[in-house]
Amino acid sequence: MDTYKNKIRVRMIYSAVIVLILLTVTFLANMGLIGFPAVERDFFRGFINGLCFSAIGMSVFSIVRYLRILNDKEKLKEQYIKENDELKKKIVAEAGTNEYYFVVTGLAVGIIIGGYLNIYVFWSFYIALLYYCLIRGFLCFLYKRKYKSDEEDSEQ
Amino acid sequence: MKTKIRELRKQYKLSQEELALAVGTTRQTITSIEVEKYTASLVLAYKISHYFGLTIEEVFDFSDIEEF
Repeated sequence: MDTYKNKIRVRMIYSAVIVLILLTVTFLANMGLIGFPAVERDFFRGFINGLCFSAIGMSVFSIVRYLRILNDKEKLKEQYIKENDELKKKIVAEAGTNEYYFVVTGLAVGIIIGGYLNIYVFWSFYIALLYYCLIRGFLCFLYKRKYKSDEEDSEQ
Repeated sequence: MKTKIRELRKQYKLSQEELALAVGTTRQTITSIEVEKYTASLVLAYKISHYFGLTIEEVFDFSDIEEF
């Protein structure tokens, strides 16, 4: 359980960093210290502010929740079981396998169509696909190192 | 995969929730195993069998396993 407790502490730190970054950016943007002409438009600015405050709210909520869990052994055990349930892991793994193909093909089609219609759409899809593939590739590399054996297979 | 988990639970007057908590999983997983929608991992199968004081073969029915 100590390893799991440390995992939760790391998540709390990560959430706190997210809150700090978002608060800083929101403050600077609303004071007019940063930002491009697009964020001056009322609707767009309101939308981004709303997204930002939702993210901050969710991060704060998860920090408070994790604090409560850390101090309660029963809740900690419950949370651990919920997160490590094998059926849930299997569902996520199978959905993830199919999701990869749908996301990549969808973004690729978007790149092609966007390339014909609008340069900003093209670059948005392109960067999104690149980011997705990089993250996925990096995670596959990490988990391959974690689970695959370095020993060569030997046939008896 | 067929199992005797439901019968064993009734025999020991256990709810799915109680069994799930005892073996470190969720009630939904126990339900899925009982209705044969999900096959338990080796570790979970061992934990369930061990909880009832039986072997894995006595709780889980391997007769339908495909042979290659």
